[in-house]
Amino acid sequence: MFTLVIYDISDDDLRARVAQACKRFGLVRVQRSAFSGRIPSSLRRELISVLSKMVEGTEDNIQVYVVCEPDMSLRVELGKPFKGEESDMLV
Amino acid sequence: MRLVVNEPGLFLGTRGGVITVSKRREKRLEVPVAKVDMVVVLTRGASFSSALVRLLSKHNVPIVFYSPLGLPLSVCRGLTAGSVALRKRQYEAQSGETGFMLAKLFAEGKMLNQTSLLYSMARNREVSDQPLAKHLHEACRLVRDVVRRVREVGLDNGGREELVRLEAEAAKIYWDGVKQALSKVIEFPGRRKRFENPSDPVNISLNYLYSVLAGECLVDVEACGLDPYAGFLHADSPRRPALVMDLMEEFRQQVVDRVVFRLAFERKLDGVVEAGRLKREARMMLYRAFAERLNTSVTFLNRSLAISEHMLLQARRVAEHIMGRCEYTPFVL
Repeated sequence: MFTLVIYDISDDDLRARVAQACKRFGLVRVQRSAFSGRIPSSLRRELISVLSKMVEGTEDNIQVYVVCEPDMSLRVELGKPFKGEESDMLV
Repeated sequence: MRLVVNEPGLFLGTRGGVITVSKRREKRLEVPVAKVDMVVVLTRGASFSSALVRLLSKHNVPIVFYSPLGLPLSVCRGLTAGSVALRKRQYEAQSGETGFMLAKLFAEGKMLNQTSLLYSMARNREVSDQPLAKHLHEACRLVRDVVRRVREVGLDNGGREELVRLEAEAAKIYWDGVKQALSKVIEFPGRRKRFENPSDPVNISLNYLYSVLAGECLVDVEACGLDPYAGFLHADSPRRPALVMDLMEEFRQQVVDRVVFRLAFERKLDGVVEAGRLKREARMMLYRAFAERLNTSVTFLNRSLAISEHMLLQARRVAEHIMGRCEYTPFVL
């Protein structure tokens, strides 16, 4: 399933930790405060529980969207694409 | 996905649970462990941090080191669970009917894949090159004949020797057909194994990728708790993992031969050899084509999965067959 995580966090330290957690679970950065990628639902659930502990008791907000394949294919990207992280070392 | 390290001077470490690759302190790549199935090391002079090895072991991601010729030298992975009962049964099966059935099925799978490759080559040439297509169809029919004889071999009267003999017979027909087809685009003197020191690009590429395939199979066989050195079709040897060679037989044609022949027909194998060895870029190109093929989804036994996943399932079916829980079916496309 396609997963989209967006967040609005004022604390620099916490924001960095949230970004790191998203990366660790296999999501890629698509915008400054948005990560997305295709990951299994077990990983998604684990990610959600990690993130929920992070924002517990703060004023910050994280949203996790799950998008199915047919809806995902309707995605439109406008403007200059955010830099992708593809490498020739991964095959 | 496979993380391939093919450049001296690379450093692989980890930060916050993510694999980082850098060269001279300059970041090259960051990948989450969840995305990597295997780290493949094709070069000397790369270094790994112990934290990374720990992280990979925890997630059961093996690091496989290959020699410049492509031989798997070492597999670094977390400890797997003991499988004493399975191994005991495996050694017993080597001399019994169960093991002989497996040996027969491995040989049969190999030959059926050879026919399917010959057949598809023949089909592609039916219009452009009729005499060659006719020759390939004929080779196809001859190999199928050998398969029929394999099915009749029994264990009692020297069955094992007979199997090896029939396998060689089928291989000769197959490589003769391939030689005819390849001779139109590239110089190919016929199949030469590694110890025969071939100097033509096709044989060198084949030998290289066969060894890489052996590394993949080795990881799968060990993951299923089998002893990679106790084989059924191949004789036991302290140097060569016989069971890995057995399991490889039915994947050679579909994974390696197909890739190498395609590259040869696309003229991508011209000038890949330098002083009897593959160039670094050529190694990477071959590995990339090989990995692409491994990731291709195919349908086998009503399941559509990547070929690498079918490979693991086949290893598991060998284990299940040894334990007497299910019949083994060779991987044939």
